[in-house]
Amino acid sequence: MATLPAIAGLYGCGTDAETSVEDEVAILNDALTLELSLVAAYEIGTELLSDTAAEAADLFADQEREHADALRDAIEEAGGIPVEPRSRRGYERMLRLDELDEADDFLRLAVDLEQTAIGGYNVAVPRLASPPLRRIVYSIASAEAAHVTVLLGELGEVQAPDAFVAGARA
Amino acid sequence: MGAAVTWAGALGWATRGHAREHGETAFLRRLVRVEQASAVAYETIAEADFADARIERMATLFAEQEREHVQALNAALRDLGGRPPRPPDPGEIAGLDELGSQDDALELMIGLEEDLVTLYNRAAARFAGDALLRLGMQIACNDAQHLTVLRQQLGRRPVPDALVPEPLDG
Repeated sequence: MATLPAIAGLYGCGTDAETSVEDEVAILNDALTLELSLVAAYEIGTELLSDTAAEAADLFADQEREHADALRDAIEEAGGIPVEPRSRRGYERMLRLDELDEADDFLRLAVDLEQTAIGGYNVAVPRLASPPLRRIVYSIASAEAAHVTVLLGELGEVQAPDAFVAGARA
Repeated sequence: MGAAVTWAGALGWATRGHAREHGETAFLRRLVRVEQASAVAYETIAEADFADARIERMATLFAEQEREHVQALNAALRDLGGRPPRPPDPGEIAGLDELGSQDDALELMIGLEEDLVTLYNRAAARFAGDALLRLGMQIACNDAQHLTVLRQQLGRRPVPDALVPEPLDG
């Protein structure tokens, strides 16, 4: 499983209490942290890939940037300060990207990361009070699931194995 | 080429008869109808003479997953005091009995799945309960995966958008 740091805001927010604006900003910043990790993973990992896998990684890096931008906008609109990305070396260490040797290793890591993101959104969505914000996370999660499908295809595996895509816990 | 197939026609069956219903229950019934239509359409395609082994396997798996979606959504509907709609007959799904080729079938299903992904995005703003919000996201993610595979089968960009496009009528 991907070695993302514990995203307490996303995975620990399953309480019945109403979410304050501060809590909501924290949840969104945790989601932004995940998306920035995905951007870095695809940017770095594409170096191991070729052909259709490399094309997919380049596209997904762009799409994760759009996800990050949407979350940044939402955080700022709520009066919060978006988290900043780490350095490339920081992501290499955190995600252990420098230990990957082969394309399939990276593809499996990418699947793990995407599933972790989906899992986080699945836990967080009821804690977001604003309907437009819920639509944004539904939309992002759907895109991450689509990414998983393409990645599984590159690995030669069943591309839509589960009727209910709940992702994974970090 | 077979008859022009439009997803709007297929959706027409799904929306007919719900005019007097309101709110979350009505929207849930609408979702169930489209999931039912998708399940029936995939079953029909899986058995079609034009379906090769790969399309048959895909359609069979996706039909099963749509049936699981229907079952879960119907359970949620009953919990809200709603009445599950009856599944459509294949002849009630516009365009289904006019399919002349695999490509026609894939186009029809792309239309239905695109409609589902859009409907779930709207659902994110309408669903009130935690469990239903999470269920909706999990199903939306699976339908997004179906859409990705269908696009790949037609040689199209599998994930064209980072975010689900906003519906014109909100």
